[in-house]
Amino acid sequence: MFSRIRLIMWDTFLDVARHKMLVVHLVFVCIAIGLFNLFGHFSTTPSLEYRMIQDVGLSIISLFGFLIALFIGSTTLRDDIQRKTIYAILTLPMGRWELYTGKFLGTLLAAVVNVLIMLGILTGLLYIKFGIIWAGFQWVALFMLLEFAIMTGMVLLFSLTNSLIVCFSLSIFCVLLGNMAEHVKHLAFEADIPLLSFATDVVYWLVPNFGYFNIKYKILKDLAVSPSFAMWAIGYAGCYLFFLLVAGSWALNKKDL
Amino acid sequence: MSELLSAEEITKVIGWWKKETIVDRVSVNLHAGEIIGLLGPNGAGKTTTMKMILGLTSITSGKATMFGKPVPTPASRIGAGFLPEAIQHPDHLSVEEYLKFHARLSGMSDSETAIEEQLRQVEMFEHRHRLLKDCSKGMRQRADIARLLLRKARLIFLDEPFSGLDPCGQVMLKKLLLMLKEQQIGILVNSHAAGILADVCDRVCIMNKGRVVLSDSLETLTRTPETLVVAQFSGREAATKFIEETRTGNSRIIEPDRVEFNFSDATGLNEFLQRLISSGGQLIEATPVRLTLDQLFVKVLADQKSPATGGLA
Repeated sequence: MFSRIRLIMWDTFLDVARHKMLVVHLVFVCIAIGLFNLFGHFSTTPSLEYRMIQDVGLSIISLFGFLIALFIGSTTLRDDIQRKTIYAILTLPMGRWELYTGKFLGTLLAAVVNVLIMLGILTGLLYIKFGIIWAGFQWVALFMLLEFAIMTGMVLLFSLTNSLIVCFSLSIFCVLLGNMAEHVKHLAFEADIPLLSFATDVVYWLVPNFGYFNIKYKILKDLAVSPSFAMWAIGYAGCYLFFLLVAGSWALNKKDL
Repeated sequence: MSELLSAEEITKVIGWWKKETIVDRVSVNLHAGEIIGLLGPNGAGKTTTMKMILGLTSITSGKATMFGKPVPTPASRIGAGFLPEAIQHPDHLSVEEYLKFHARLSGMSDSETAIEEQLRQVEMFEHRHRLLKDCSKGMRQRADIARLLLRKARLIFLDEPFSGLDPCGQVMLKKLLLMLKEQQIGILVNSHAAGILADVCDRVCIMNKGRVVLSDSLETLTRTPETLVVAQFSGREAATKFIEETRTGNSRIIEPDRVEFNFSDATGLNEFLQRLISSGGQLIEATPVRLTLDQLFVKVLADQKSPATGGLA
């Protein structure tokens, strides 16, 4: 069972890694970071320049990370169904959940590696330009990896819908809403109408709260990230990923191929 | 012969609001060493029937078992293999790597020898290092059959395996299927290629609009009550005279002294033969008329469209 999951995971990772689209993304990230590196020259002090590159770089990684999550998540399983390669695997004496788990882990691994590469490029640029290793890099990496792992898992789940447009719409909607989760909670608290309060409460608990992973402002202001906060974020991400895995396995099991 | 597959009145209904029955109470059973052909027009429900049996699509009602185990449990799929229509193989893998991947998925630890053996069986050993994207459709089909045999599949489902194959590829696949039949492998094949199915199948199920409209051995299905008789006479005059005197069956002068008669009942035929001999004519040939599977298929579809009129379209 585990060897099958590992095999599917590795095959999925290699399949994603081979996509030229990802290479294009990475090249684009390099160009964009290079361009913003140039913009850094407009700043008055080296410290401001450093902050500017860091800020713009992280924003670009966030944007491209999301695009990569959207691309990988929406194509991995969907392509297999359309190419009918999934039939050859699912007619083996194995459960669909095994296939989904393998695909889920492979997709997550691919997303994580991509984000790590982008962060590596940014850190390298900062080191080349300023000769210093980025303090707090490990926290940024950890939180971003958790964030993009959830995004990818979520898109993979939505890719089981019959339409790519529905998959994209749901994914973008959830990411936007997830970044405004605290506002949603506030709305639920403030709403006088019980039904609206209930609905917003449900949305708050269902949609992942990406606010937990947004530590950019802390990094830019050199504020410390407490280990307890990190543990909470890891726990939250772990639980949410498990929920996505179970929901996806169930959905694939119910799906008529 | 042991029963490999049994499906009893399996039905598939789709749609949430507007329900539509796409497979309606289909029953099939398949034994070892038997090839059954599912024949039907597009949208007849052939592929869905296969998918239901393989657990790829849920069964709305009815039940199916493979190797005596209920579908869709994973245990029922041990020994079953599926070759879908127009499967797109991974471009980056060679034939051998593709088989290795599936061997490992099937839990085969030492697959080298088995892969070699199966590649030789499907005559693909020389092409084992070739990338799948560079293989012809026929070669990819054979690689896929090797994939199924690698797992020692005893029940194989083939969905439109002949489509897109050139005549040589079709002949090769036909030979391969007959070879698998000899090895006591049960095969359920669905295809539009009635002519090829007639060459390989023991039984045929003709499906239309989700239902099995005819199902029997090829021998029984293609049989007609008609008999074709060729008789020889001393000359054209004798032949014409005999036709005028007898006025039985449809006749046609095929050569100056030879006439072909078509009889649709046995009683008339006996009487005719007695008359023929007593009038000095010679019986050259008497053969029962058989429909080709293509003709039968068209006839059945025409009957379905206009049950009142019937007959060949």
